[in-house]
Amino acid sequence: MIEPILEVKSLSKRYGDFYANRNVDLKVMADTVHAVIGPNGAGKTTLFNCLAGAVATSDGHIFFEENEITGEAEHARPVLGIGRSFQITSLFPGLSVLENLRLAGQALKPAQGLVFWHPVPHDCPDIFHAHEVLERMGMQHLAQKEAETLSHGQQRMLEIGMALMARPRLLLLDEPTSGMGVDDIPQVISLIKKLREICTILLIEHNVGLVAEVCDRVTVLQNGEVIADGTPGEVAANEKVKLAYLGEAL
Amino acid sequence: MNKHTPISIHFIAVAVLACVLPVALQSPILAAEVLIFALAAIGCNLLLGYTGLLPFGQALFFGAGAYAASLSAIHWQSSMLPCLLFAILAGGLLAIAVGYLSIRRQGIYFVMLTLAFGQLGYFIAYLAEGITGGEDGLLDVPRAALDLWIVPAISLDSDWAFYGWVALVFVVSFISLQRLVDSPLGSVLQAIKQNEQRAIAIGYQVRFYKIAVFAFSGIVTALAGALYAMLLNFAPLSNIDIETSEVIIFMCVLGGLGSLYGSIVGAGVYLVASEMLSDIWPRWMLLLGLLMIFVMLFARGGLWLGLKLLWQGVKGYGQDKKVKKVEVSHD
Repeated sequence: MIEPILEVKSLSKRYGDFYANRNVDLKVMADTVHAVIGPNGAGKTTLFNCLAGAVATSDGHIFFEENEITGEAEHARPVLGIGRSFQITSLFPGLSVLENLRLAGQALKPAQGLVFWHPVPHDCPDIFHAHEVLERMGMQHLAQKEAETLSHGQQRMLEIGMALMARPRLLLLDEPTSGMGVDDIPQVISLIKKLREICTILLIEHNVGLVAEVCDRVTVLQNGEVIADGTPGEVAANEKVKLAYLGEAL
Repeated sequence: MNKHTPISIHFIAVAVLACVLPVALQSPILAAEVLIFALAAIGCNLLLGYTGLLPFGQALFFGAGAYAASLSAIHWQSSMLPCLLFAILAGGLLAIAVGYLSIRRQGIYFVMLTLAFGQLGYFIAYLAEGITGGEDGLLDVPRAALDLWIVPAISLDSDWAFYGWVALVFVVSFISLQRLVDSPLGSVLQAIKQNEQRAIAIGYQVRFYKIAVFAFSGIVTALAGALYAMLLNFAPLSNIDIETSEVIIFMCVLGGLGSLYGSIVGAGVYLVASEMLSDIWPRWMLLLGLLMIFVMLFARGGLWLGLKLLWQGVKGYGQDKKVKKVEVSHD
């Protein structure tokens, strides 16, 4: 049996009286692709923010590779091996694609960011790695372009690329296809299939086709609580899930 | 000048500038003033232009540098280097303290905090008459001699000798800071300016970097304040007041954010304009205000970027055909 790489135990996140997440339990097995789905407002992104450390959890525990990381700062988590991408594209718009990636690589070596007496070297390992990542995404020709000049689809890919620079063992993808045209989605699917060879992936996604095609396991959230967990097939057949998505109209 | 310009080119550029400036302005005093305020504007630029933090209390560091150097020159008869060292220490430590507290807040609250610390410094200097001279400032600040132990002390009493020293300090500081903005640390500052949230998410401890850039800014601004006091033989209370903070920001923004050369242009234009116009018309500041409005509306990159674009336009006009050919061969 494979080990869970990430284990969430009865995690809650309160904003005043409102529970964005309530007693969420989640196990992500190593080397799988795991999806978190749910209607809008179900608390998916809040859960991600807790996992990435962007917001503090109110209750509960998060274990990564059997070590508790609940209280770790956001900037410390990439170093631990957790990379994330954002639902709303979040890049360094005025910098080149290569520089966006290089910065993400440099971040893992905090001592290097303190160097102020010599220029950024042209041949540092981060730049090689950045080229590798670009190659994996088929974006080598865009290396010198400014990030803001890329198309939306390319920006979404760069978004994932930046998370990859940390060589994460767990990759958190927040709606990797958000805002993408239908034509670009197969590209993301094939990228995820490639990435699962190198890391475990936890993703939030609305695109049912993508979830059914690439995910091994699906957890469904509604009103901040887990209502179902299983293979895509099991979840699709679950009555509660059908009700959650189609609402009380049924 | 771009990111990949080698440091030797920067060195030649500023060294030539430092040689030409006093001749062009026909006054070593005015030239020294330009270089001194260029340093202060560069200190502001590190925060505003490179990191995206608007500091409204730079006079605190400027004034602290002026007082620290003046006090050690007056009371301890320190020579030049220890004087500047005291100034740097005062400015750097103050900046770390102010930075540490101010960066806890963002946006307008951050700006207000730096303003509040600046005002706090002003009133402390105002009240501590025994130390700072209060409203009268510190009078009779000597220009400390340059004593390097191994060679006989060099007097900097003549204006030309003092200009030479200011120019040397300026060139060394400029080159060091140009290195800094091109360095890995500089690239993190750029990242913070562009997208702070993402910088945190990919693993940068942004608060730490902000404090570091504050320290550098405080050091260079205090250095400018110290040299200014020695230039004037006087450390007035106005060094630490809000108007000095404004002037520093004004020069920085007018010249152009995100380029150290812009800060030289900003300081130069401001001081030369004030020198020429103040004799003709006491309300000359109005004209600078109009210039600022013009720059904000039509040349948002500041005068330096404007000059650069103009130069590229002139160059491009002549080389239009050549450029096109090169582009084709690249494809």
